[in-house]
Amino acid sequence: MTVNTLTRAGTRLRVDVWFLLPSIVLAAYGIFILSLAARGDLTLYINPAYVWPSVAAGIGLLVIAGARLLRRPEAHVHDDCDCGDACDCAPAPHRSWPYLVLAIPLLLAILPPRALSSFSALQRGPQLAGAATMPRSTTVRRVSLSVDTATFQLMDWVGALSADPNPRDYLGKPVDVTGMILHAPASVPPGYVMVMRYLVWCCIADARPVGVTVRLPAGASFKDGQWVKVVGTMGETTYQNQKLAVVMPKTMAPTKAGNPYTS
Amino acid sequence: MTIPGPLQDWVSIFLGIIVEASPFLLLGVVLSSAVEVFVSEDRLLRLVPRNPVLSLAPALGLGLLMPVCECGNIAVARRFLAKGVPLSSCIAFLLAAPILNPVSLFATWTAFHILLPDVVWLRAGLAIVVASIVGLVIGSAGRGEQLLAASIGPQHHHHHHEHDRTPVWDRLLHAASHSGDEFLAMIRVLLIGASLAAATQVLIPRSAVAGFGTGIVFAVLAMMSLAFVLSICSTVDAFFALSYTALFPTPAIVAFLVFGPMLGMKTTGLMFTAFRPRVVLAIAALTAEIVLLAGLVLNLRGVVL
Repeated sequence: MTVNTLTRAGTRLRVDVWFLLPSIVLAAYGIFILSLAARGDLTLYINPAYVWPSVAAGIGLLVIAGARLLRRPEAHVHDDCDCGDACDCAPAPHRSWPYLVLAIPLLLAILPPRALSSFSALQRGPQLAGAATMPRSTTVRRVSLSVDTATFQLMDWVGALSADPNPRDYLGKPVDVTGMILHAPASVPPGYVMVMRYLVWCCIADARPVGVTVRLPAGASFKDGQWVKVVGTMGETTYQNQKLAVVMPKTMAPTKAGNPYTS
Repeated sequence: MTIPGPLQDWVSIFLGIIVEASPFLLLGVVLSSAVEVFVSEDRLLRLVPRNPVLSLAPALGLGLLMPVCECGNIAVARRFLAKGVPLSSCIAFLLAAPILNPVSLFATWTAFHILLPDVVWLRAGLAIVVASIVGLVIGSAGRGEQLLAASIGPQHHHHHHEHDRTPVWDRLLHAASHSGDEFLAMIRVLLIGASLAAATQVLIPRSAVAGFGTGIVFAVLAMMSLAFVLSICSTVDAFFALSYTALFPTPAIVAFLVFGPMLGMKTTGLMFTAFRPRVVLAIAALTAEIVLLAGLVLNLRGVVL
């Protein structure tokens, strides 16, 4: 039957291509998502909790691409109605621009995947844990005297400081965190920097830069986006008439880049 | 290869939205194709009352049940339109489903039940009110077929497959390939929306929105504009809104949570695949006005702090 259809349409090759093209594009999308997943790069774009729906979609797109090919062309013909090809069961219209548009994300995906740069952190407005602009938005974790804060990750500190911003409750507690440097002159006292990561709920469109305030050791200078490991204790400072819990580092050393996103 | 930070971030955010939205878009087109292939028009239309007001009930009820956010609901709504379901119910479903769906409601509850518990029911309640009003007004504005996009025009109403005689395997293949066509038709619109949303995120600093002005009108308008340009998925926007509770009054937060899922830069384009352009504009204008008004009324009544 396929052959009949092709002969009727006249140019065998063109019809073939137009019949195959949608399946090729669908499969390309599936492969695009699955290859990101296979390389472990999917979490550069989305929260790990959403990896499985994306992988399922990748597999689904491959299945659909295949099913489209299995479908016999005569199924498009409606013997029992006079709508002809005017319905959307008919083969896609023969225009090429839609397919060029569809190729854009596939082309962009060739670029090496990167985490959001510090530019976006500034653009989004960094949110300092313990400062007034940081609402109770992360897992709330009050720190009691019995908790060993040396095991706290950056996000544990952000959660604790959002629940209880009073610096007095943390004075002298040990700190050992890793994150990215951000000079945020609008929100951080002079001589301090922010050590941050991005909080991602869904995809990086909703990424929020959150972190703690760290005093820069004398003579130290870091570029924005540099990963550092900070070991020290909690202290306090006064900034814009507000008591702010800050990290007083014993050591602050560059370290290799980790995952900038955390859920 | 090194490319500048802003451009790199645009690429990343753009791809992030596409990768994140794909499963939900696919879920939407699969549900819609299942409706197309397995549910006959007669059976579907028997479920929807003729009375425009009553016809809202099944639309809103379905919104509560369907796990579709704003990327998936348009495909389902298009299918209902093509099957001849009244315009008012389709629009009510389209606007309310992303907010009323169980995932989104649960996320809103999780985010707000301690800090501002009123926000949870206000969001759901306003979604129903706004969706119903817009649905009824646009639905009464003219005969459905004149308002629909050309691609789902009236030819569908007499487009009758003899489904019951077709083997299940063929119907599954039909549904799958139909899903594929619809996915391709919608993702290219989503690509345009996602690239615009990503560009706005990179180009406009958040502080510019916060500095929009003071006063309740500006606060509500600022949060509505933010919701429009950010285009975050309705299942997680509640967590995002939390970070603005310190900057904006609660009515503005509610406006953000109600307006965002109904109209976002990412998804407004998708509406053009279902309705004529002037209808999309009418829906957008009406929705914006009602949400703004609702924000101001909330503020006046002092329902919330």
